[in-house]
Amino acid sequence: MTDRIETAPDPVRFTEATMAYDRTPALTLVDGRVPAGQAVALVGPNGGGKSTLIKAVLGLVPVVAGAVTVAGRRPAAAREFVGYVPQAANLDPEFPVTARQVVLMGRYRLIGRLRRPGRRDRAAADEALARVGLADRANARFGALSGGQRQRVLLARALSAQPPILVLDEPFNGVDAVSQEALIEALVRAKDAGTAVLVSTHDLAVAQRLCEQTCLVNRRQFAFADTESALTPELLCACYGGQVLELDAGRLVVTPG
Amino acid sequence: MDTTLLMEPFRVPYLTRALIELTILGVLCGTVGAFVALRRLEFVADALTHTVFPGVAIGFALQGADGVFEGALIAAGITAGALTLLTRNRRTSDDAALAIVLTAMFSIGVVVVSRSHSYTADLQTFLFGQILYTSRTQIIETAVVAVLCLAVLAASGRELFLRSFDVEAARAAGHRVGALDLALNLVIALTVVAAVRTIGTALVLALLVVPATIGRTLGGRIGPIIAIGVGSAVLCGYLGLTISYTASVDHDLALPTGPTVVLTLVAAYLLALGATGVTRRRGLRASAHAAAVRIPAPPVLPRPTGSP
Repeated sequence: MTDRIETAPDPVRFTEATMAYDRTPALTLVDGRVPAGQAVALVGPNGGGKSTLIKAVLGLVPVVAGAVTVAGRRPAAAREFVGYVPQAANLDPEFPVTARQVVLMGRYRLIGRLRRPGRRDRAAADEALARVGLADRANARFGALSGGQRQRVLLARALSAQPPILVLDEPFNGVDAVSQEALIEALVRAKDAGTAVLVSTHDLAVAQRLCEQTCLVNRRQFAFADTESALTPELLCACYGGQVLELDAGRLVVTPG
Repeated sequence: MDTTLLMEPFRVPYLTRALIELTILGVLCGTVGAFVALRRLEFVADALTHTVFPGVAIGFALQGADGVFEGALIAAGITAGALTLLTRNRRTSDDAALAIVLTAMFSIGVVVVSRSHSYTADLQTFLFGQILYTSRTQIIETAVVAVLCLAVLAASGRELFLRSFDVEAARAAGHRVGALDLALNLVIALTVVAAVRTIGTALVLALLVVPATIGRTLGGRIGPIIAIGVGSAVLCGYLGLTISYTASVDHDLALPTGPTVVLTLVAAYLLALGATGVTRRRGLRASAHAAAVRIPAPPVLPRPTGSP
């Protein structure tokens, strides 16, 4: 007989999961978990399945073998627990929307169809904007902001609903240093509050700073372990199929070879 | 122009009815048009104005003028459904799907119409409608459709806004994108159906596209864009009607109403375009000036102290 302890399910758990578009496996045998209050970096070459894994967590790509569970449920039934941050570069900068309106979009589900956004919703939106350091740009047009600021607005949108899980698709791509620091700071605060974070990135230095674990993928999983032991030159070399140069302590660069 | 002429539409009963119809359609099309612009569905709106044609033709052939509304409604429903289905197939691009549905439906319409006697007269009516023959019943029907469409937009407007801006996030948040697309396609279809009998396809398309474009040119947010769109649609409807009436009755210059309203809208758009051009140039000059004034002093680096 063993004592059974009631524990909350892992925010995100992959159990030998294989994802596929139109029956062609895009990413196979991912196995690991994203615990509450921790961050997992998703690292690997372009086209290697990072986006596929993210979409699987969002319930937008079918898991054909193994399992992905989000808050103990199948992903499509757990969307209320997940805040998703897409790449700002994919959005139309001419779209007529202000920063605050974008952030309010994160609360549409809570607001419901027939109610108008109330004082609480606006307060939550402004607080989320403040958390990414953009409280003073609430009325600016989204397209008038810099790329990094747009990315911060999208993080604020996800934060505004206070989800227990955050999923970010390459948030540091093409982002200036100020915005990168603001993003990291907001994510560290979210972790401290118990949020589980899954973030894809090419920036290994950011992965080392922000993420307890790293998942290395290229069509299959190469590592899913604490960041220190996942980001070794050998594993990176195997995953990227190239050469890895170590510049200085903790600074790794991958070059195609 | 004599200012009393601007009151003419309120004294002549058939002009009053035409004005009421144009006003309802202006409010409806100005609002729906804003969502058409957000989703960049101008081509879909264009296609719908043509695909209701077989419905109009068949309805007219079977039941005369009374059958037109039902016929157009059925054809619009088929189009909206077919478009939503076809665009789900990844190998059929959206534009290809549209072209297929558009040409197929329009051809059916021409086949039906060409069997009747007054081929060109029917086509003419279909293009520009008969706004001056608007009946009380037609006004009521238009009003019902307008209330219905505006209610759908009021209930799903926010979701449509999110879906237009960031479809991936809308899906990730669990919004039903397919249902939203169908709803908007149906609203556009219903709007076209409501308008096509009285103002014809060309004017419907102009009312759906031009006011929203004026709003987009002058306004930076969705609220003002809808307000400017509705305002310019209603105002241009009124002005176009008055101009065509005055020219025809007082100056013996036969200006058909529909095309006059279209041209008034286009003139308003060009005005808006010119106005923003002027303010943008002024704004640029002003901000260049401000930037020149506000150049900060370069930071002074502290001298290193206690160097060995």
